[in-house]
Amino acid sequence: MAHHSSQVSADLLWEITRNQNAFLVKRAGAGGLRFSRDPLNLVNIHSRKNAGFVNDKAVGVLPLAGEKGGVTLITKKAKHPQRPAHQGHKTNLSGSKSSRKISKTVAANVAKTGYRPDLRAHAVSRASAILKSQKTPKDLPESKPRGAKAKKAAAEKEE
Amino acid sequence: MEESANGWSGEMCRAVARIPRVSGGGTHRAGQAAFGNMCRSGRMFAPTKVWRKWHQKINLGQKRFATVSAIAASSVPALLLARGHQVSTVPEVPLVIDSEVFSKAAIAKTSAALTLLKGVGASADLSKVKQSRKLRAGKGKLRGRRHRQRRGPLVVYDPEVDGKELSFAFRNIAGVETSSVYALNLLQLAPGGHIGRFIIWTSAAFKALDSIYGSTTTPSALKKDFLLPSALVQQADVGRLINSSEIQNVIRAAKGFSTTKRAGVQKKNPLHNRQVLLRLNPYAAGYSKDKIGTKGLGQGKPQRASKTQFAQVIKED
Repeated sequence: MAHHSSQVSADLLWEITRNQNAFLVKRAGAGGLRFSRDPLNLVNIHSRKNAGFVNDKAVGVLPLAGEKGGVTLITKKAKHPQRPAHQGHKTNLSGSKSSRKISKTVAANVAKTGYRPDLRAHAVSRASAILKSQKTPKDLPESKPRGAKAKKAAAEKEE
Repeated sequence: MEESANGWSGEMCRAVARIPRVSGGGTHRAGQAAFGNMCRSGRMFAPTKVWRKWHQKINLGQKRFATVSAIAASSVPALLLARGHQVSTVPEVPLVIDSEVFSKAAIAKTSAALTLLKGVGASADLSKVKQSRKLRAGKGKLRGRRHRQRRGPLVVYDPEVDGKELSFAFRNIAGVETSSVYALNLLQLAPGGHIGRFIIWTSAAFKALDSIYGSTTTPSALKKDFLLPSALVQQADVGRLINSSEIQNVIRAAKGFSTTKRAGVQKKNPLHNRQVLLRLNPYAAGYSKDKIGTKGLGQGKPQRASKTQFAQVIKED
């Protein structure tokens, strides 16, 4: 990861915040789970690679509000670490596009330019999970009775 | 209720628990247990002693080190986020507001202070504090600590330039604290021991930091024998250190060749991993390129064995 003008290195920040930070969710179950609530964390797992608030470059994929759904892709600008208001670069990808196109855009923005190629798969799968959640589920197909039940149903229909 | 009570007399045959009891008669209270931590109106167990060591003495140098570290941490947006401050709308960290804004007691009313905070993008942090206010669990409610809430921004000012009126303006906004730059408090700079408090400086206060704390080379004007601690490491970026020419020049080259088999790696399945398949079976490249697998024999129907020479030979025998 290329280093920019931030005064404090990401390695130092991680050592300071890895044991305790506002995004960290600790649970004793399953051998001590460590999750993260960081919006710039694609897999919600507390780790150095995925810690968006620590790294100079980070990616977030969030659901886009509205009728058609879609996702918002956030990439962190490494240029001005002291300006939180200008730090995120947001791209809205409307749900009216096909999910394939959205995935392609996400992958291109995250990895193709050499921004964070290691996060491409995570970004795409998060986007697709969000898009899937925004679809209205189809109704279950009507049950087709077989055997004795079918005969009974047919008999009832005749009457 | 004040009663005289016998000490426990030590007789075993009274068929009652061995606890001091109220003496005398004529009332229900007589004969009841007294004083013990399990008794009605008795004292608590191991009562808190006023001569407990309530405070811990910390060396002055260490306190100063902690304060300057906390101030330094307050200028790192990542640490502010890690503390839980909502600073994604704040234009710059450290956030410095021109002292002109506060001059002539311009910010003396809460409404003026609120518009100021809103203008610098601190409203997200304020609403977080407002929503966090909860009733405290336990007896602390009765002891002057009724509610729990998060901490908002800390406004640091220079009383000589900015005046003290601004502290009246900010004091009724939940979570916001004010402090003179000459009396910074570590409990406010790093609440709960977590560095990275969101600090709003007035420009006069920010300027005063130089004279109060000095620098790594010029001693502080106000603190005796104090220089800012210098950094233990100049470069704390591990990736940059590893890739620096100084280190790359002295480390030996990596052992082995590009084809060296690495120990302790996961075995790859050649049926799933094409590169591994090709290493094992170079013919696979041509096989899939020419689509030999899908071609079939290309000779139409196979001939019946009975019509071949083979069948004739068998018949003759």
